[in-house]
Parts: sequence; C-alpha cells; structure tokens
Amino acid sequence: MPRELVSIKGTREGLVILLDSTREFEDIKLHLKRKMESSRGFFRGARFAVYGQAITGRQRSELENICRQYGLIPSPEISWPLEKKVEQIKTVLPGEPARLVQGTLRSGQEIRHQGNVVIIGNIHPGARVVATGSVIIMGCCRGTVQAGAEGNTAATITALKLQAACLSIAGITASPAAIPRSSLFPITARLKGGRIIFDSYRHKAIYPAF
Amino acid sequence: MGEVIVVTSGKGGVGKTTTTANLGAGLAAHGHRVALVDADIGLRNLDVVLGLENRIVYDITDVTGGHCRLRQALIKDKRFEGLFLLPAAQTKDKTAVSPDQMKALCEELRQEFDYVIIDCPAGIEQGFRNAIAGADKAIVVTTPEVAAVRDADRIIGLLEASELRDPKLIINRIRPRMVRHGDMMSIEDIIDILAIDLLGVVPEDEAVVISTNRGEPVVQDERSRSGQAYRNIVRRIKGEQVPMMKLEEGGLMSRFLRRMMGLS
Repeated sequence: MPRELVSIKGTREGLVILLDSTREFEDIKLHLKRKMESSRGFFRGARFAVYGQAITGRQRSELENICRQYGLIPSPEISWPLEKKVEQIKTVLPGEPARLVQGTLRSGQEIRHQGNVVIIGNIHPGARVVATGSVIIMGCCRGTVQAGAEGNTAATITALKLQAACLSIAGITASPAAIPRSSLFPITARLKGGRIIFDSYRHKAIYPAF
Repeated sequence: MGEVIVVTSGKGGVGKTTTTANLGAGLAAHGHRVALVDADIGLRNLDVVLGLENRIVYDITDVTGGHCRLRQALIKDKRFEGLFLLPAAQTKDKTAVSPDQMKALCEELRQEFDYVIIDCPAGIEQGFRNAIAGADKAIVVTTPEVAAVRDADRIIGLLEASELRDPKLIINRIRPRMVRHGDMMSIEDIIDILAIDLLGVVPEDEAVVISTNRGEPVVQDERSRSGQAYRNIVRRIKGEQVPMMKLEEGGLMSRFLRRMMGLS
C-alpha cells in the first residue's frame, strides 16, 4: 500500500501527524499546508504531535509552526506506539570509545593511540603507552605511560598495581617517590594543582570497609 | 621430521653457546640425531666449546652460497654418536646469510635430524632475524641480572611477533647462596617478570669453565651440578616430567650446622 506523504490519525490524547520521511521535505511541507487549508479550521484547537523517522529538530519545528498557523496546539507527549520504538533504538549510550589491547606489553613494544586505551595484561619495564586520553591497565604497570599526551589535563592513569612505573599526564611527570608501592586496590593517577596525585580506587567502589 | 629449536637471549655472555653445546650433547647421548647450527657469523664459538675447531673445512656460508653440499660442511662429533655441527663463518658477517636461506637450510636439516638446535648471536638485528627464521620453538636463556632479564623480555616480545609463541626459559648461573641472602634475583622474581614457562635452572659452577676450556660439554660430567641440571633439561625437552633440582647443597642438617658455625 503506497503511504501518503502526510496522514493524520486521531488518538485518545489528540491528533498524530505521520510523515513519510523517505520523501522530499519540501513536498511534505506543501502537502501538510494543503491538508490544513482543505480542512477549513476543522482541526482548530486540537492538540497534536508530529511523528516521522529521520526528520531533524528544525524540520519538526517548521512543521509544527505550520500547524500552529491553523490553530493547532503542539503537545509532544501524545504517544504513537510504532514510532516510539524506533526512537528508543536511536538512544546513544554515555561514555567514550577506547582501544582494547589484549596481552602483555614487553620491553620495546609500544602502543600509540588517539583516545583512551585499555590494556588487559601487564606493562613491562621498557614498554611504552602513549595516549591522548586516559589509560587503564588491568595488570601490573612497570613501564612508561603517557596519558593526555596532547595536553588533556583531565586524563587519568589507572592500574591494578604500580611498580617502578614512569607516569606522565599532559606532559607532567610523576616523581618516582610519590608513586605508591603497594595497594590492595587499583590506583588512579590524576592531575591536581599542576602535580600528579594518586588515590586508591576504593572510595568510589562499594567494597565494605575492612 | 625433526624439530628446530633456537637458543637465544638478547644479551651476550649469558650462556647461549654453552647451553646449545650441552643440550646437543645431552640429546645425542640419549641416542638422538642432533645438528647444531652456529648462526653467530663472524664471532664463531660453538666449535671451540665443542672442541671441534681444528676440523672445520666448510662453513654455513659455503652451504648457503652453494660452494659445497650440506653433508660436506657438517662436522661429526666423534665422542657423541649422532651429534653434528654446522659451523659459522669467521671471515664474514651477519649479512652473508638471509632469513630465507636459513629457512631452507633448516628444512633440509630437519629431514635428517631429530633435533636441530640453532645458536643465536646476541642482539636483535639481522643475526637474530636469521637465527629465528627457520625455528619452530625457542629457548630463552637469561642470568639473574636486571639487564639480562630486561633483554630476555624484549626477545620474548620479538619472538611472539614472529609467531614463535610460548618460548621456554632457562635461568643460567644462579647462585643459591646469594639468592638466600637477598643479593640476587630469585627464580620466582624472574618468572614473575617474564611470565613464561621455566625449562630449567643451571647453577653457577666452576666445572662449566673447566669443561668449556677443554672443549668437553659439562653435560657428560656425572659429578657436577650443572651437568645434572643440563641432563634434566634434556629430559624435559624430550617430554619427560622431571622435578626441579634442589639448588641448595647438602641436606637440612648440614645447612643448619653450617649456619650455626657462621660459614654461610
């Protein structure tokens, strides 16, 4: 069945204006105007919502303005079940992408990456990680790690264990004496007041105090 | 079809050549046909350690260059039935052989021998690339020193990058008394850093120096502890389960007495 450019459905909550967004937006606009014109004020005072896949926010408000001229009242809370499902899939998860490295970095091996890096393994002495974002090491770090390599001062370095590691964030190097030798919990290095400080991951986690 | 094993370390002077000679002699003593290849072109030593120096006619570059047949270049060790040496050239350098030539050479050797053991030169340059080109297994030799362990770590990374996975570790020249006093890295420290399987531990032993100078592998010395360590490693290469040798000399009582008398 060929879909109409614009179809108007009545629901218990109000009118739902459905668009076939595979068509040209200008055609849709024209068609909507024509529909409103021909209704001769029949829809005046009715509440409505616009539904259509792949229409931008600006296009949506343009269409809503046309309807307003004919006395309709926009109310986006009117639900249309079929279209709503599509909207949910479009939801973007929070967070940033990262490069996952599986395995231990041995002496002489190097990872360079624009962004965050997660390493499942150890970093041995003489190995190096350079990232413009943060670095997470699911293992023992004994090598060189440079986070925020292009000046990102919010970058952090987190490791399960730090041993004689050489760490720097946004070009600021941690003094070797400040690096904690052992901890029961993962350690995070971050910049604070122009210096690298270390805190145990513990206070953020839900471990019971012991 | 035999297997090709490369003995490597990164750092020089940790005992690659001594290990190669002893593993070769040990495997031959078990009745296997063994070919030892000296890949250290320009700095050949394996022939000296085996006491075969004055029998060299052709070397590895003569074989790869087509000047002689492989069989002509192989030197038969008269003391061990089945042990052969392919010596390195002394007048050329590492560029005299290419990785492809080494691969072809190893293929030819493995047709005739049960074990082909390659003595790798120190370093990570072309000599190393040549030595590992035809190998299917690797043995990494290290001593309990930070520099040697660091180089071994680098080598393990390079081996893995060349598809030589799961190399085995030999810790050479360990001194149990120094480890006990905390003056030397322990076996556990080294394993913790390198994270690979241990094939064996060879204690520091004067008998190695004596036997090397004489050109007689220490593995045939029944009384020396290093000889025992090499014999154990040989059996492990053959697939036997051999427990690690106790490194401390004497029993608990004598150790206790020595400590009481302040001798150790």
